[in-house]
Amino acid sequence: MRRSLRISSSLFAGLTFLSMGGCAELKGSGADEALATSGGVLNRSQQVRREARIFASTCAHCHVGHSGGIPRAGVAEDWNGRETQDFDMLVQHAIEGYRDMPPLGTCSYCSRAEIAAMTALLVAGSEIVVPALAEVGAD
Amino acid sequence: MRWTRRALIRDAMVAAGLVTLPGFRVDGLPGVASAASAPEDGLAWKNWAGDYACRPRLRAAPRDEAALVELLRNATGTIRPVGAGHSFSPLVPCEDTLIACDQMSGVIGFDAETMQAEVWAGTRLHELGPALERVGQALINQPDIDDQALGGALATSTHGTGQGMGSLSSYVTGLTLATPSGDLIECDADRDAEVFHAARCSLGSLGVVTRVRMQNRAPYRLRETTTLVPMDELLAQAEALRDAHRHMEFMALPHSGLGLLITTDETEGDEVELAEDPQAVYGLREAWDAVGQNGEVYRQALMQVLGGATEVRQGPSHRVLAHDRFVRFREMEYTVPADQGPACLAEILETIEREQIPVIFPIEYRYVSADDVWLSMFNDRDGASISIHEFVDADHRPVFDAIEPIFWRYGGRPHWGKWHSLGAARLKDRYAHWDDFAKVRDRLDPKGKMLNAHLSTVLGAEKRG
Repeated sequence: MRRSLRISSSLFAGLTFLSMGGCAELKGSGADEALATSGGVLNRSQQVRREARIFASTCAHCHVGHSGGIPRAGVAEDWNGRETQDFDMLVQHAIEGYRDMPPLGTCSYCSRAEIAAMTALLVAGSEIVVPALAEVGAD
Repeated sequence: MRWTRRALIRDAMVAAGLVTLPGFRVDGLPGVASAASAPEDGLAWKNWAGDYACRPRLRAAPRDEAALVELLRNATGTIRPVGAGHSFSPLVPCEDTLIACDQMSGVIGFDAETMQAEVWAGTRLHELGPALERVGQALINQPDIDDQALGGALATSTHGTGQGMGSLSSYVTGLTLATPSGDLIECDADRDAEVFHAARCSLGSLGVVTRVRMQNRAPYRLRETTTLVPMDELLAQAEALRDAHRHMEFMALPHSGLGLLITTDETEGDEVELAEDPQAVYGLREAWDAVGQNGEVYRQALMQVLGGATEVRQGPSHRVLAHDRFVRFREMEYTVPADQGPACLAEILETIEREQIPVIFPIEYRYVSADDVWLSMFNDRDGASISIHEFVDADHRPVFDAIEPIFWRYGGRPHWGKWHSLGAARLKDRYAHWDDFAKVRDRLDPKGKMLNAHLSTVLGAEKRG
């Protein structure tokens, strides 16, 4: 079932978590300075908003609520059974396109890091995505 | 590296954090804070089918019109707009600046009396239905694939099917265009009418459409029925079936003498049933491979698998008209005069069987009403659109090359966003307003900044300066 718009606000929290977690992980490596830089670098809220938009407009369209061979966001068994178990390979498939997965997941402007973030959210984010899906009653 | 749940969480956090590191700057031009570029990671862009690619210096997603205008004013080299990349023709590839409007999305405003809504062109079609529903409106018609960005769909006159119903472009009542020089033009049938007639289907050659005002209607519910029918029956009754339903299309199943008839009508029914098998087409391929390309056995196999089962889907219009199309393919589509449609499709099917062309992907047949959009495939004539598909892992050229000349004999116009082999010399006589469009394009983009190699070929235009 298509719930991309309804779900986007709930996933926003998950994406915020990812970004915040990433920043915490990277403290001391220049991340805060980068976040504070103006004139070209998106600040944290802008980046989270951008990622939420990417997820809602592209990833969620196929990976939320569907079955029929498409691995669902946050559904561990859909991903654990994949032929490839290599995260870097999954990201590369998302970038290059693989079988029914279109290149860049149809996000024409996404960076490699954003594709990796979206892939990680889809695959590993069950702790984040499942509660968010439950909130809106998605299957 | 094999992963565990814990490792993935860690990777997710790191991956998300990476986008804020200095090495992943998201600016491409000074002052364009929302433009995302990837010169450092050098990612190539590819279309949905994966057969066209480019590695632009800048892939940008401006956050608002001001950023877009600044980007256009400062960009050097070729500029191309991009949506979801769902075109099967090389409209997008360029080596300089690729602009996506995805970050400008949603309903801007609406008028409950006229049932019109202004929408950001970066809105994906699958987001548009729910967004309009929230303001008490619905699209009058829409394509069966809803991955596309609205701006991209309009640039190619993308369409659905239905008696008395036009393409998406035909429901545009006004739009805002950011020109290559960085001006914003608001146009409609009364203001800058020539730009309006050209920009509703422009192949992205006039600049970047940012906002679109759509003529809509009140939300409605649909009931779709799919039945297996002998192809001879479908061809004989095509026009009667079109006139009997709000939407009618069929999927001819090559080598079988069968077709799937899909009719859709309004309903008051409450229940929602939208289940479908998006990968069913793989079953056709497996059946074909299993019977050794024996047409009669294949037909019997399909009769057993598909026969007698009538599938019903029911729900809000935007969910019934859209279908899950996960299986990737390449596509060629021509629109022939509506009254020529059945004969054209019959000749295509006869050719496939006579020449034993091994294509089993369903051939889609739809009706679309005439419009006044200058470069629309439906300009000034009702059309029957016939779509040939091939799996992405198969060679599409033998199939397309064998069938394309049939379309030419019926006066076909190619879908701008799908594969075809025509250039400007053979296209211009198919459109009464070809020269009118060229004048508008020349005025808005005198240097040809929006022209990539494909657009130069199909529009017969060249870069200057």
